[in-house]
Amino acid sequence: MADPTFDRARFSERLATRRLGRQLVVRAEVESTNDTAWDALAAGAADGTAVVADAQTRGRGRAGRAWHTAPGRGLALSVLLHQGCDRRQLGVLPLAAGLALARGLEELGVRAALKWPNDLLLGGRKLAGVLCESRRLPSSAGGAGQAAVIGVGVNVTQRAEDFPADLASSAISLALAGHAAGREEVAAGFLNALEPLWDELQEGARTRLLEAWSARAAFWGTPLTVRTPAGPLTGTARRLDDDGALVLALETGVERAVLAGDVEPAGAPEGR
Amino acid sequence: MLGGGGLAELRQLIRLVQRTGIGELEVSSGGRTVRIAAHAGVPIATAMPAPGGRSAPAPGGVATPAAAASPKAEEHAAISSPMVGTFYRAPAPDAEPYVEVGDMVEVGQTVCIIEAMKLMNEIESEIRGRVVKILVDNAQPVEFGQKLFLIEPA
Repeated sequence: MADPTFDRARFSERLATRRLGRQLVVRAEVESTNDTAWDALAAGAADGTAVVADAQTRGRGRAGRAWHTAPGRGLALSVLLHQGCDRRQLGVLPLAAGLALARGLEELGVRAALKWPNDLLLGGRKLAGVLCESRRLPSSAGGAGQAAVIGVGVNVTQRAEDFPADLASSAISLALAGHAAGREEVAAGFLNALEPLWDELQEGARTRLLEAWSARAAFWGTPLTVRTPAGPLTGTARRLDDDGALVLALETGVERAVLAGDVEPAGAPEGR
Repeated sequence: MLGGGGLAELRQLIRLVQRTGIGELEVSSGGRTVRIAAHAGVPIATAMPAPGGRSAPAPGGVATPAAAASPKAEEHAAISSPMVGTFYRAPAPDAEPYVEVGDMVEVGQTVCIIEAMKLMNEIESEIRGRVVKILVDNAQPVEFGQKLFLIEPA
């Protein structure tokens, strides 16, 4: 197998964290960086260990969807967290991850729109996605508590022809939007922004995270359709509730909190 | 389980709830049913009401197992949802379910995923036994503490 092309030195130069990404696993190709991060946990990896792969053969998104990583052009990164995780903090981890991605990209001059709970869009097209997973911490790794893996996919240097035909109109990369950043800067920027958010969460500052996320999101007051596992719901985006659920005001005036689903502008055709 | 004195077993069950952070555990055996529910991290054991039945002598301590009136007391424990979210029986829509009715599950074996806000939480069995019933359909919303599986302890 070819050597990975992700430049470890370039990444390390920009990394300003104490824990996250200090241990870095780099691979040319994996099935999924999330799976590699879970394997790393089983092998005793440190809290904050990050996994980067040039290519994923089975990268995944919500509801079993594939996430396409153009080899060497999309950032596929997973971070393993296993110190001091409990379910209450982990519940809002997906919001922290989305906010950290948005902030990390802002440092590179990219102002992406934050979609609930954590996708990033540029010009209405998908720039980045996040999938978090949690499990019981294995007894070999310290016993009680939970462990989590945050997986992020960011389209960085893809050209139009690097996207599969079915994504061509709905996906965008930093390069296509005129930004010259590399995967290494995006990865370091994300981890630099994530660490203080995760530290705050561990100190119990959930409300502050929810407020910061809400302040960064720009869709409040707009009509949205959420495709939930139980069917679509259309309403006006109002706020996050205490758990980070998206509260919609339905046409009937009733408010509904949504915990799982794909958010689209109301009236958009059904699709990915 | 829950036979004889029962207090030691009850303590074991309480420790199980404490250690694992599951929301609720219900065990029936030998005509007795005990439900242990965690509140703010502190498990509270309650004896199930025994309509028209005799009360078992209280063994002391924090809980009182009561004799159930029904002669056909089900010897099933439940795996309950530790959170609000969406219940998935398989890791992906095209994948095999983690467990089917009739399967044996081990302690620590993943039995389902509960999704909340794109956080896929793998839920493990706290009990060794056979799956006798799956109480929730795939991709349905579940509440905190809602029973997902009935397990016949082995």
